[in-house]
Order: sequence, then structure tokens, then C-alpha cells
Amino acid sequence: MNHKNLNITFFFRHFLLLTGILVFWQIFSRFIYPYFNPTASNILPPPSSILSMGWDLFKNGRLFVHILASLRRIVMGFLLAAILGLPLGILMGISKNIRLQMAPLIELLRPIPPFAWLPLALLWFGIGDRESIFLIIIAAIFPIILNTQEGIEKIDVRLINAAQSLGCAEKRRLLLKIIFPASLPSIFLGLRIGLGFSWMVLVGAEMIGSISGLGYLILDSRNLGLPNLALLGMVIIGIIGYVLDLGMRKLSNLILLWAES
Amino acid sequence: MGRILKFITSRYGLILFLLLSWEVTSQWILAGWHTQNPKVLFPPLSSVLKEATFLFREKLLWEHILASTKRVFVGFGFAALLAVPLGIILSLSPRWNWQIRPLINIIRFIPPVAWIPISILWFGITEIQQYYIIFIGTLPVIFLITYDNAKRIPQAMKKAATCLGAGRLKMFLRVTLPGALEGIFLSLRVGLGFGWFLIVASEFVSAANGLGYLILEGRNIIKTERIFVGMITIGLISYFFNFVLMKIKYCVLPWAEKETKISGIFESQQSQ
Repeated sequence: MNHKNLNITFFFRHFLLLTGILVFWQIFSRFIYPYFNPTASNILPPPSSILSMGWDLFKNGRLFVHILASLRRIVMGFLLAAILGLPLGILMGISKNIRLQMAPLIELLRPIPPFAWLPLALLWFGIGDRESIFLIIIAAIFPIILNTQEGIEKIDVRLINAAQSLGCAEKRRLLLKIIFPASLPSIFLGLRIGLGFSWMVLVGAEMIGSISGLGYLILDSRNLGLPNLALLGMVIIGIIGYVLDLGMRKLSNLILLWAES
Repeated sequence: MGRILKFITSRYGLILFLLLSWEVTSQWILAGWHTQNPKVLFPPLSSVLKEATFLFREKLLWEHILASTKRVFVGFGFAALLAVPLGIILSLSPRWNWQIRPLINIIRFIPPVAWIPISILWFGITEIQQYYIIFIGTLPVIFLITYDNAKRIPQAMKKAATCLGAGRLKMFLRVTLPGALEGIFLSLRVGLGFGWFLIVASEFVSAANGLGYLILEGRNIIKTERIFVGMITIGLISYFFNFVLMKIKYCVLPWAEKETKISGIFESQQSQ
């Protein structure tokens, strides 16, 4: 009884406003707006119609095609970005010469928004998966490189000194046993930021240069004049983005048991 | 002279080498391939520069820059006007924070580009739609950084101020606001960078001018040089505004710590 009571106060504390907005939205776009504009098409569909749209698409399976297409791209692109970015970041962290050479290059490329690469990617790779994957790599690689490098730079020198005086003089061993684990929290932060960015960029890339995926779905729904499909797509994109972020956080908590979160 | 050369090669050697090999590759090496027109796929640096001077002379570049800048600043300005006070107020009132946080989280996890289709349905292809995309994208970024930094003001300082007889207003003006100011500047810088990031995608889909449109136009008329010019220009501009905001910060807040490197949009989610 007490537990249930607690849940109710928790709900009122956190979600009263949100529920109020949803209820108002439902009433407004179901009854008030059509009453005053009986002939206008409803550009703000009520939540119930979004849900029923979702149920329809769920039943005929069209939704899964798009979700799977997007997920495939983000997994491939993100893995490639990590495979390219982690070694580069580590090299930049441990070698001053490489850092000095790479830093201006990265500072030059980083302010260019990933979306701006899209026409070039379309020109080079054509419409399809490879173009989105290229864009995801561009979006995710800079946070991964920079955070990895920063993580290594910020390692406590005493850790390295201690390891060396305890007989871990070999460079390879030092790297594997000390430098890499000590920089892992920062690496995971970089991966998380990179994943968030690449999800956003993927949606944009699919809107312009693709014929499948969630980004395509929402732009297509605009062309079809189905606002409830567009809103449904946004909700699904938001949920998947949240789940990706949550997964990354859980993974880093699992691996980095010792680190403070 | 030798010293300068040494400095350049030690610091910018790789970049100079890459620029040179860009020119050489697309001018001579790729040109040997006859299967496709390689200069379309990868134009040499010299023709990119030629296109840039052409666009600059014809005042086209300027026009696009102005259009994009206006959009970014209007959207960003409204977002800042809403998000900065909201961040500070919510950091003071946990009750409202609990209520409004879920809304902000919903906005945060929906990528701003996903708003493009529905916003076109709502506003049509107008300037307001562009402003809206920038607004909705930069709002959570500015809010979250402001909130976090306002929350980090040490409780001891507030207690000390209370002991010394500060009322609510004085506390706000003398403790909370100055304490949050550095965070506000950071949030504005990150938010503005994010706005530049978004304007490209927004202008791809629905605009008839602006730098994003310039890039897309370069693709549509198969003038790859133009794509490169647009990309480089937008990078330079977002770098420039970042730099300006940082300089302003040092003038307004002389006590703030110097940042060693100019950080860009990618720090935006570190504090979230």
C-alpha cells in the first residue's frame, strides 16, 4: 500500500505537467481545432491517432523494415568509426609528434558540420548504405578521437611512474596494462557522444539520400501528407536514440566498475 | 627563415602535405583514369579556390552567408532567451524541475532534424520553419549546460551569503547569477555551434538560399567545387563565431579560466 502510494506521488511530481499537455493536446486536436476549422486537414493529429498509426504499421511490418535499415547503418558506421578513431586517438595521446601534426588537421575538419559532407558522399558513393555510413563515420570519429586523446593526456603521471618502478618498463605492456584502462572512462564518454551524434546525422542523411530507414519514413510521410506518421517516426527515432544512449551507458558502467560515474 | 620553416613543418607539415597531395592527386593522378570524370568527383584545390573567388566576386557567397547567419541567430536567440532563464530558475526550484525535466528530455532525444518534416507541415517552407529547427535543436543544449553549471554553485557560498544578510533578490543578483555566468557563456557557445551544425541540414530540405542550399546546389548542377567552397565557408564561420564568443567571455568575465583550445560543438553533450 505504502509502495503504491509512493509511486503515485512520484508520478504527480514528475509527470503531471506532461500528462496535462498530452490530455490537452488530445482534446484540442480531436474536438476544438476541427470545430473551428471543419474543412482544414488536421496538421496536429491527436496522440490517439499516432498510436493507431503505430499499431497499423506494426501489424503489417512496414515499420520494422525501416527500423532495421537504420539500425544496420548505425551499427556498421559506428563500429567503423570506433575502429578508425580509437587507434588514432591513442596514437595522438601517446606521441607528441603525431599530436602536433594531427591537431591542425582535426581543428580544420571538425567545425565542418557532418551534414555538409552529404552532397559529397552522395557524389562519391551514390544513394544507399555506404553514403550514410560515411556520414556516420564523419560524425562519430571526432568525439572519439578527441576524448581518447584527452583521456590519455589526463592520466596521472604517478600511475605511470609507479608502474615503471614496479617493473612494467616495456612500452607495449605499459600501454595495455596502464594507459588503456586508465583512459577507458574518457574513451567511453567519447563513444557515447559519438553515438548520439551519429544517430542524429543518420536521420538527416536518410531524409535526403536514401530510400529506406526512419529518416526516409518521416520525410516520406510529409510528402504523403500524413502528419501522424511523421510524429510517430519522431517518437520511434527518439526512443531508439534513448535506448542506444542507455545501452552505451550500461555497457560503460558494466566495464568500468571502478570508475566514478 | 630556417626556424620558421622548421616550425611550419613540425606543426603543419601533415596538413601542407595533404593539401599538396590533394592538388596533385586530382590534377594529374586521377586525371589518368578515363572511366569517369575524376575532376567532378574530386576537384583539385586550385579549382576550388577559383570557384571561391568567383562566388566572392559575384557577391553570391556573401548573400548566402547572410541568409544562414540570420536564421541561426534568430533561432538561437529565441532558444537562449527561453533556455537560459529556464535553466537558472529550474536549478533553484526542484519542484518545477521535476515537472519540466521530462519535457526537455523528450525534446533532447528526438534529433532536431527529425522535426523538419512535421515543421514543414506546420509552418510551410518559410523562414519560421528554419528558425524553429534551430530553436528546437539548440534549446535543450543551452538549457542543460546552464542548469548543470547553475547547480554546481557551492552550497557554502549561498549559506555564507545568507549569513551575511542577503535577501532573495540580492542572493540571485550577487551569488547565483555571477556563479552561473561562465556556464551560460559555455552553453551559448555550444548552442551556437550546434545551430551552425543544424542549419545545413535544414537548408538542404527547405530553403532557396543559405550556405546549406549553396552546397546542395553544387551537387544538383554537378559543380563539386561549389560543395567544397560551401563546406569550408561554413566551417570557417562557425569557428569564427566560436572565437568571438570566447573573446567576449574574457572581456566580460576576466576571472574565468583560460581554455587552451577552442572547443566546438562536440563538447555539447559532455555535461548532459
